[in-house]
This record gives sequence, structure tokens and C-alpha cells, in this order.
Amino acid sequence: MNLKITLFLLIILLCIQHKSAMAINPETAGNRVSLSGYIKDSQNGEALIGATIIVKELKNGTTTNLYGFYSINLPKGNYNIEITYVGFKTYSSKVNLDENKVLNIELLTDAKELEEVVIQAEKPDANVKRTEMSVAKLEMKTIKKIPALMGEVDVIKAIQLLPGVQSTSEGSSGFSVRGGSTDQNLILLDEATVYNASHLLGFFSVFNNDVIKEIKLYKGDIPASSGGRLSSLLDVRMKDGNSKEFAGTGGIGLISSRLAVEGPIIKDKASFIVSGRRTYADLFFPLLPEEGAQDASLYFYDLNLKANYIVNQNNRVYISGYLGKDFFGSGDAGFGFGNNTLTLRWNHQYNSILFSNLTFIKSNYNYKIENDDNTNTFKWSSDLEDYSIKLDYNLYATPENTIKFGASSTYHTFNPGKVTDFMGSGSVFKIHNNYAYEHGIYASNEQKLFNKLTLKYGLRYSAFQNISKQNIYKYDNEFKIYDTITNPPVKTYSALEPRLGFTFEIDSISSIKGSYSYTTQYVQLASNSNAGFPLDVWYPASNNVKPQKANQYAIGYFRNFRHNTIETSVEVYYKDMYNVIDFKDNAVLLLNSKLEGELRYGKAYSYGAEFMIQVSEKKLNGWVSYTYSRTKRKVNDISKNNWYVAPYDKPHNVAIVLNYEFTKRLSISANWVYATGTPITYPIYKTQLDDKTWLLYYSGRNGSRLPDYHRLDLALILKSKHKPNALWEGEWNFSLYNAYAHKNVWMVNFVQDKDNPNVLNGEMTYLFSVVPSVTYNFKF
Amino acid sequence: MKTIKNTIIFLAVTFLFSCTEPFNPPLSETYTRLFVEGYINTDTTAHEVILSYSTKIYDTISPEMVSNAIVSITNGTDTFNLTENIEKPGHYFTEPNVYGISDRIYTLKIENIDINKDGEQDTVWASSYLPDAGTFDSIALEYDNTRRREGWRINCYAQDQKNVENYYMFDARINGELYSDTIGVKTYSDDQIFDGSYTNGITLYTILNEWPENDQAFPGDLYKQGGLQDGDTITVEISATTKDFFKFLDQATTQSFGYNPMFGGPPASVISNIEPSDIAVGVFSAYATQRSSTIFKKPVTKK
Repeated sequence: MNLKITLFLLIILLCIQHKSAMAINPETAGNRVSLSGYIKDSQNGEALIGATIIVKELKNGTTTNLYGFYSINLPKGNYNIEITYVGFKTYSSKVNLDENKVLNIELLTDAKELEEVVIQAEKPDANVKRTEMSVAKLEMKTIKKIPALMGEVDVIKAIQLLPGVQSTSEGSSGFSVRGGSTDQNLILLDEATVYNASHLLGFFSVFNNDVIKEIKLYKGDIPASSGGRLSSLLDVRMKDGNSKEFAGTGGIGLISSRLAVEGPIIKDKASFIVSGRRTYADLFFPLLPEEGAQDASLYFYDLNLKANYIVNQNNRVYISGYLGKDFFGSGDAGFGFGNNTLTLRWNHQYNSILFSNLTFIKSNYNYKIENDDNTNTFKWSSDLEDYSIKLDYNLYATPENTIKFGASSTYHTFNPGKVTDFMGSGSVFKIHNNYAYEHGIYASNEQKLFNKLTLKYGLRYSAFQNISKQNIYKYDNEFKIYDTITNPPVKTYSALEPRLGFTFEIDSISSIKGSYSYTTQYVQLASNSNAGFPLDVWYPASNNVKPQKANQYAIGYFRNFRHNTIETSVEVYYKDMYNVIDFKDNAVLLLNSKLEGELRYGKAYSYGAEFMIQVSEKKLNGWVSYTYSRTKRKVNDISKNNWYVAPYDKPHNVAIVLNYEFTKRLSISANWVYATGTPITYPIYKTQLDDKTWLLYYSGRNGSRLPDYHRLDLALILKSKHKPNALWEGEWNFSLYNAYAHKNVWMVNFVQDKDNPNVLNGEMTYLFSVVPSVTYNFKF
Repeated sequence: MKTIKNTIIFLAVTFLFSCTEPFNPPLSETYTRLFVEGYINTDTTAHEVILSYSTKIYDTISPEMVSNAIVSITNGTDTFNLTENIEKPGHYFTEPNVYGISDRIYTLKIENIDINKDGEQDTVWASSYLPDAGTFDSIALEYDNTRRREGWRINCYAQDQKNVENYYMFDARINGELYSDTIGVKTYSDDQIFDGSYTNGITLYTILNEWPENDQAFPGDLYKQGGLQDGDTITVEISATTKDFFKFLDQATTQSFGYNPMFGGPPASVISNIEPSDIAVGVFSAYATQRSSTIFKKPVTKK
């Protein structure tokens, strides 16, 4: 039944596109013809995403899509075409458009590009003219300059420096966008959902910067093509692989090393990239004085692979995958977790104005924990697996309209936990699997009006079907089970999710943008950890768990200065959320077959203002941002049903990220971050149990705050001497994390005094003092 | 008993090489609550209820004990009055011939106290069901030198009832002295994972040869000065408890290990079944206890 619905949606789409294509096929559309093609990097053949194609006579144009494809539909005639992309020389050409033409261009690298650090890879005035708002696009060369913890440059740590984005705790890969929870971020790696983006308990992310081509974070204004999360979309795209020549990059650090190799399989037709990383911090454990450190294992590795083949001008196929694994062990106990993803894609160009992409995706997150100390054995495993199919179309109807439409369907399998071999008894304990389908169908248009105004509008229809056959427990007002439904029927939820936006160009250097989005989230993470924990489990909407919903409104003013080398923006937003989930006091979230009894439901709101100044001068690059934001929740049965601040409510946030290039070989980077202290719940009185143990009692949740957080990181980057035709280039990266050794409080406990058991002493824990590191990066 | 939860705590402690410093944040206004700790089980003995007042977090004195209260326990048929021990203020005992009976509800009542010091007498109460005892066969000792913490495991052989939610508390005595006398050391379990199974040697406690250097003990770690000696009697008590008391033990144990933002949610008060909840907190539990003993004999070392 459900598969039929999916197929039905896809068939409908196919029919629509054929009709559409026939209706506006440029070959049949009278005087209009089209110019289309791919824009690539001449050095390595990588498709350039978001390159701008301008028709000078019309003062209008288009941009390349995620695969470097563009198309523009014009009346017959002669045109001056200009193609720009930051870091590349502008391509200009006269084109006689008397019929449909294909213009594939490989842009040449601009020598100046090598000197700078930029945050956007788009045209210089993109900050003003781009129709999206609340979006940040990061390039790897930007991220590589940012000082990093243990020298390991990290995509997510860079994202946490953007306005409106906050780290959930010291060193964590979890991030909160505009007050949302970490599970409200949709993280995609080549379109595959990454359910846990952390390595080493969050100190590293799963993204290996050597294989990443582009990162785009939507803090709001999420495109209609995506859904399923309330707060944000982090879209990470892997490189396609160098189709011109063999090349490699890598790095050797104190605790990890990495290597990526790429090259043509068939020159200009097929290419690949493969990369791997492995940490070896555990090799130093025997030197640590802590008890147990000598027996400990602690490492992760990950592998990325991607290959593509250009069948012909109209067809191109891709395969990409990720495999990552973490392992922690100590003596006879240990646990491991990891993601693996597989993406198969087929780009098809029906004609010069209709482009499609069909994607098959598999995504899996799994973990296991084992104890094998003779008799007290157990093996506990859990996993979450998705199979998805997506079909997306780009229809370049006219220069004024870019229509996108498509559909997707995902089959989720949730295995919350299975315990085997418990205490050698041979018994098997399993929490029943959950199964669900998640469908989406969407259409959107970006429409230019009056040369100054661009409208963006779209509609997504999402549906979710929980098809699990496990018992449903019905809860009364006191959250006690009063009935059990066996063999329940399919539970279906659906929602219409409008997305609206506009960009009004006041002049060539300033604009006003606004957006509204309605988003729905059907799966969520059972985690009340602030830092994110690998053993957390995902669970779907059900009879008891209603989908979370959010309205987000945002408006912003964007202005550039000094020939677009200084970009500024201010955005304000308001977000209200419904059916938000929090967890009751002392919630038991692991291996709990009645998990839904631990959940509490309510509403929340967030509002804030984000200020950003970004500099892209020849020597000095970076940005300064300030965010003011508040997030509050009102959830049944928590804090006596009063409003309380959300775990990620940090009203004031400052990030200063700067890079100064002294010479072509030497540059210095620094970032300083400041944030209001994380909300915390402190005790208000104590009682004594068993004449020895103090029990602590608490009032409302998150009623206090930790001290404010601030930290300075520094990096010095020294490149090897540039030699023409050199086969090897290297650079040293010396960095200091938390350079002035500020003791940022990670947690506070009240500990019984060893000499006077009546005394409880407050004790703070901090994770890092100064952390120096050195990394040698190379490419060949 | 190294349960799954204990394993996670163990791994967490092992991997968080972090630094700590004294830090006493300012805390909100506090208020006084009566704290009740009371138990009745199936043993024929003097059952105890302890009454004390809460104190401020940074107070450095022992809690004030509550004297002259009128304390009673009833099961609907019989009512047992408790008497305060003159030498131990705040400790109230039944007569020594009292025992609890399974499948009955026991209600604790406390009167003649003024918790708020407002001149009005308060009455506090709590109830607990006394469940059936399970089938407990025996215990055995097994030497374990496979871990860093060497010692003697106390293994338990018992049959769990199938399709019944059972909750157990375990206590260990050596020569009659209770060693599992502290939250954080005491072990407990539900039967979710081994429902209906025969626990063929499940380890409840380990009597360590040496106390951990860093003083970090986990539930189930015991230590006897000088180690076990020939002739020592090791006794295990298995008590069938209620779900609420299991939750109390679990939450109190979790709290005793401290708050950790990575492995738990926001800190919270432990569950209480004392009413009214706005003037009193604590625990009153009825449970069915069985015990089994074994005598330690040092293995002969081959020369």
C-alpha cells in the first residue's frame, strides 16, 4: 500500500514533467531558444555550484545548480554572456543564439584567489542579490584557516561560529540553530541523512574536509525540496573527484592523520575520490596516570568514496558513500558506533531547460555496547536505517522563472535496542522495531519581477505513516498507562508546508529580504543530554507522539561596502513551535519499551537578531558576528507547567573570526567567541539518606546559568615555498585552542567533603585548558 | 552487579579526563522539608523510620533530627506504633516482633510535627505495597582476576517469575555486618532483560582485594579490610520491592555519581512517595526479603 503511494507519486511527477517539457520545449516554443551547459573548474573538472551566468543585454541571468548545470531560455538573438564565480577569472563571450546551444565552460582559477579567505563562493554581491536569506555557505579553504581543537579542522566547529548557531557544549559537534534542539537539524551528506555527525563524543565531526566541496547551512528559509526538521538544513556535498589528473591531499597531526586521493578514471568522463582518516590518540594512553587509561581504546576511522561517470551530455551518474566507526573500550567493556551512507544518483537532461536528478539513498546509524567480564556479559545493539528515493526537477522556463519540483519517499526502520547474551543466560531482550514511511512532494518557483524584486514561493506536502505493529500504550493525564492497543492500525500524519520569501534590491549594494517557512518534524531523538550522546535513540511520530511543527518568520537588511569587500547584514526572526518534546525529570530513555511515557509535550518560541560584518580584503579576511536570541518552552509537567528557558538559550553570542596574511607563505588566524552561560538547574536544599548520602532537591528546570563562556584560538599557517611545477606542496599549521586558558565550566556538581561528610562542596569541571597542536598538511 | 547502566557510567568515568576546581555558585532561596526514610520488610525485627529536616546546600552541620513525632505503620489489619530511640533522636522503631506480610499495602503515618514552624501541627503519610518474594536458590563465590580490580564475586542463582514485572534490591553482609550500606554501592535491578529466566550465577557484588586508588567505586564494589578470611560468612539478601522504590534507588544512585551533561538530562530531585509533597520528601518502602549464605574458605595454593 505504502510502496504503491510512493510509486504513484513518482509516476505522477514523471507525467507532469513530460507534459511540461513538451509544452515548453524550446524547440517547439516559437522564437525562444535556450543556452545551457555545465560550468566547471578548469583545474580539476569539479562542477561549480552557484556560478552566475549573466546575459548583459537583459541584465538578467541564472546560476548553476547543485551539479553545475545551468539553462537560460531567451529570444533568438546575439548576446554577451558573462560567467562569474569567486576565485575564478570571469568568462565573457558573445553568443549567437539562433538555435538551442550548449555552452560548457571550464573557468580558470584567478591567481588572487589563492591569497584570500572567503566565506562565500559566489559572486561578490551575492550577499545582496542572493534570493536566499538565513543561509551561510562555507568553503573548505575558509574552514581550513580557522584555528581548530587538536589541529583537526572541522566543518561543524566552523558552523558554530556563524550568527544564530551555537555549540551545545564545549568541544561538541552538536549545534543549536536559532534556539532549536540538535535533533531539529537535518544533516545531509550527498543527500543521505547523517543521524549522528559526531566522532569521539563530539570533539570531531564525521566530515572529512579533504573530500568536502561545499557546505550550506539553512538557518531558516529551508527550500521546499527539503523537510523533516524544524530548525535547519546542513547540506554537505562531496567533491566529484579530479577528472583531469591524479592528485592528493592529506595531513599528519598529533592525534590523527588523513589522506585523500582523486583522479580520472577516464579523462574528462569519469573520476573518483577516496579518502580516509584515523585517530591514534589511544597510543598515548599507557602514558597517562589515570586508572584504567592503560587498558583503554579510543579511536575512530572513516572512509569516503565517490565516483562519477559522464555517459553523455544528457546523462551522468554518481555513486558516493561514507563509512565511519568509533570505538571506545576499557578492559572488558566497550562501545562502538558509526554511520554509513550510500548515494546513487542519475542526472538526466531531458532537453535544454529540464534537468532531473534521481537519487537512491541508504543511511544507517548503529551502535553496540558490550561487557564481557566473565559472567556479567551482555551485548546491546541498536540501529536506525533509511532507504530513500528522490526525484528532483529543475525547469528553466524563462529567465524570470526557475521552477523546481519533485518527490521523495523514505522507509525508516528504528531498532531501539536489543540485548543478547545477558549474564550468560542466553536470553534475548528486544524492544520492538518501529517502521515508518515518510513522503514529500513539492513545487517551488523563483520569480523575478520588475528587475528589483524576486519572489520565492513553494509548497511542500509531507506525509508520515507509522506502520509499526507493536503495542500502543495509552496514557492518562498523570502519564500512567490505562490501556494497551494491540496490532494497531497505521497512524498517518500529513502537513502542507508553505515556503515564502522575497528579495527587494534597494540599489546595487543593499537589499531587504524576508521569508516565512512552515516546517514539520516526524522523527526525533530521545536525548536529554546537552552534549549529545552516541547511545541516544531516534523514535518516530506515533499515536502518542505528534509531529513537531514550527512557523518561522525572518526579515533582514543586507548592505555591502567598499566594492563588495565588506558585507554586512542584520536579520531578525521569530519562531513558534508546537508539539515540542522535552523529557520528564529522571527520564529513562535507554532500553525503555515504554519510552513514550517519559516524554512531555508543549510549545516553545524563539526570537532573535543576528548581526554580521564580513571582510574579504586582500590581506584581511573574516567576520564579526553578534547574536541576541531567546528561546523558552512551556511543557506539561515540567517546571510546574511554567515557561522555562530552553537548554540552548544563550542570549548573547559574539564570534570574531579573522585571518591576516602577512606574506604569501605566512598567515595568522584568530577567533574569539563569547556566549552567555548555559542554563543549568541548581539544587535548593539537601537531605541525608542512610546517614551518609546527601540527596539534592531542585526547583524549576534551567533556573540558573553557568558563568559566561569565552575562548580565544590562534593559528599560524606557514606554507612551503612556492615552486613552479612542484609536485608537492606542504604547510604547517600551529594552533592554540583556548589560548588564554580560560576555564570554561562544563558541568557543576556538589561533592561530599572527604573530611567532613556534612559538607557539600561545589565543584566545576572544565574540559580544556590551552591545547596546542601542530599539523602538517600537504597536497600533491 | 555491573548492569548496563553501570557499564555506561564506568566508560564515562574512564574517558573523561577532565579537570575540576572548587566552585560554589550562588543558590536560590531554600526552604525546609521533612525528610522521611522508612522501611518495613518480611523479617521479624524492629523496623525503622528516620525523620530529619532538610538543610541548605552549603550548611556544614548534620541535619536536624525530628523528635517527639507520633509514628505508626498499618497494613489495614494491624497497626504498629513506633517508638523513638532515646539514644538516636529521630530514629523510630517498631517492636522487634513485627514483620511485614506480602500482598498487603502498608501505610506510614507521622503526626505531631510542625515542619514549617508556623505553630500548626502537620500530618505526613506514605504507602507502599509489599510484593511477593521470588525464588532464591543460593549464592556462590568466584575469584575474578580478569579485571584491574581483583576480588571475589558473589554470584546469585535464582528463578525470576515470568511475565511479572519484578524489582529487586540486593544487600550483602559479611559476618552479619551490612557492607552495602550506602547508595552508590548498593545494587538493584528490574527483570526487564531476564524476565522469567534462571539467573545462573549473576554477579551481585564483588569483594575487592584493594580499594580503588582513585576512590571511585561503582555499584557492587565492596571492600573488607584485610580481605576475606577463612570462615567469614557472606550473606546476600534479595528483596522484592516495588517499582517506585526501584526508581528511588536508581535515581539516588544516579545522583550520587554527579550530573554529567553528556550522559544524562538536567539534574532533578529523586522520586518521593511521601505526602503532602509540598512539605515532605523521602521514601517509605515495604519489601519481601530472602537470604542465602556461604562460608568463605581460602583456596589452597599449590606449592
